[in-house]
Amino acid sequence: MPEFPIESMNVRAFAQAIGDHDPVHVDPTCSDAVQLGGLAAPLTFVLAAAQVDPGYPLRPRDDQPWHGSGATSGHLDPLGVGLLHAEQTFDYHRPVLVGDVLTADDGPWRSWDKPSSRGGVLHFQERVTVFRDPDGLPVVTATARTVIPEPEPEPDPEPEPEPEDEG
Amino acid sequence: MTIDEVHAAAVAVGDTWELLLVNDLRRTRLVQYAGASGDFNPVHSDDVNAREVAGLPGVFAHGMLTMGMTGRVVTDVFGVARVEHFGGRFTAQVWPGDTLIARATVDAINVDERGSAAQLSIATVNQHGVEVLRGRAVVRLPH
Repeated sequence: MPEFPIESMNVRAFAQAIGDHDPVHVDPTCSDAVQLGGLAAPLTFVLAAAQVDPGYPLRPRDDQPWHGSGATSGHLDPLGVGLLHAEQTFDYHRPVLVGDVLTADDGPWRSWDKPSSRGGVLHFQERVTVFRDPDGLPVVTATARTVIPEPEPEPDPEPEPEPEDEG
Repeated sequence: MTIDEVHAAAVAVGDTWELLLVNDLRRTRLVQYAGASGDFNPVHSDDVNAREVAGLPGVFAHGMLTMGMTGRVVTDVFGVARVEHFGGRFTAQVWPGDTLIARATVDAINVDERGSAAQLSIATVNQHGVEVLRGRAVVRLPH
């Protein structure tokens, strides 16, 4: 992934979207921002690195088909029907500040299956991404877990009863 | 206790507080989050596709919108710079019209060489009392 510059307007728009009115995100003269040496990003902001990921699949692109509606209702998400974001955690090595330029170091996807309490199987995937500063020091470690539920297969239909011998 | 009565320097094990995150979540808010986060999955921003193709009742909120809003129950008390860990599991979907309240509880305060850190459990519930996010946070306490 290319560099992920932490920019003030992006942080402001993100803070507004989550309803976070802490001045540390927008006012460089507030005491917390002065103490930190800059504006801080909200806790979950680093996932907005999707904005700079050229291959991010959930952003419409001119050179790719998009599955959303237009003249028609569109199509199902070709990447994973029923894929859900199941869990997300962040470990902070230091605050993310406006002016930081981070890189995202994606680990491999790890996958496993688990029986669902409602029958069927849950397909889990997990990936750890370390956001680093230009010195290579970790800033945030983000762990994403997704799940695709696969329902229990329908039982085979009852066999047709043998026709009565009318003879 | 209300969130305004919580003081970062004086939290104790068993303290619990709530924060109203959103009242009557609007679809526009989902679009706002899509633009800010870059996640334009149509199930969160395209009601026609969500209903007619994905077979959903309509668009539903990004899990990360719920988690982002929920972070405020921690950062409004301690400030974003004191948080060492934050996260959780999405336990139910969030829909337009939902009202969400986040609750934080201090489970433990651990002392280490750098001072003390509070372990918080976090639950966000909707207007029906259904939990939509279950998480935890670790915050470094002021001396």
